[in-house]
Amino acid sequence: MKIKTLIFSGIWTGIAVLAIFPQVSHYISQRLGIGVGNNLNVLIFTGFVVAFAFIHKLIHDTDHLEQTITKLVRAQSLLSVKRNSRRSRN
Amino acid sequence: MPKTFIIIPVHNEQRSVALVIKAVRKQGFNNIIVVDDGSVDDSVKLVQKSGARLITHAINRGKGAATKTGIDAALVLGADYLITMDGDGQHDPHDIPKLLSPLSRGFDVVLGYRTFSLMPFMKKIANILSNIFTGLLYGIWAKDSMCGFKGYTAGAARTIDPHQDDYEFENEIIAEIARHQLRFSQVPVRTIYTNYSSHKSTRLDLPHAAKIVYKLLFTP
Repeated sequence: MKIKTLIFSGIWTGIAVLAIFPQVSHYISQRLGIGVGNNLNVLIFTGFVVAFAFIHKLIHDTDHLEQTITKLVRAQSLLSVKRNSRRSRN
Repeated sequence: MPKTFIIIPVHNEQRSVALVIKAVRKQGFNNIIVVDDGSVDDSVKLVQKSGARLITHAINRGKGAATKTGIDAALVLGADYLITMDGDGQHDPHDIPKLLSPLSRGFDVVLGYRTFSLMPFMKKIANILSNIFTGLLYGIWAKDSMCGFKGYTAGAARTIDPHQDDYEFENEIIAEIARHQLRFSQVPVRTIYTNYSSHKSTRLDLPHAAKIVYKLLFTP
């Protein structure tokens, strides 16, 4: 929990710093050697891939959750039908 | 005499559900299962009053989920043939024998198809795109992949195992027919586009359609 809080605090602080001082991004990219040649394109493309993977995971998880809810709702609604059918057979 | 069950999924259909049940009865079919998919109007009261068998979903889970519940209930109750139809009154119960006929001749599934020329413009576009998409994806060129008026033998209903809860359920049925190599037939059905059935809100808007395509393509 503490590590998670630390990571998220770091991310949000980074976003806040970049929003207030955009020139920081230029300084960082120069220090890291990106922004020269095709490096930036690779970085942007990787960003897209990561974002797509996140969205896919999110949709998949939501879908799984929805299917679990549906299973429960359907099972509960069919209980009386199954009970009555068993009773009439006995 | 084979036991035929008519399955009608409904969600807030107080304006039409009682009339649909009455019309089905008039055709001589008394095994009617209405699955109420979490309606907040008087649909449940009207179904109870009609004497049809009512199954209720505690919360709204979508047309596909409700249809599946109806199919499962019919199988538990010993159905030989199962017919699914919409609760908004757009399907004509006079067509039920037309759907049953191929089943009695050995087909596993019967798909109803509507006349596209009578369809509201946006629905027509959505349906044409759905047909092309289904054909490309599953190799079955259904004349109307989104039509909910279908017939199944008990064996086919047991074999088919769809997972989607909403309108994509209809496309998934086509996928399941292809997967299990079921024998299917397509029959024309009459569609009654009343002011109500044409304009009632569905979740078939563009973002939802995009989600359907995404789910069918990328989820197992």
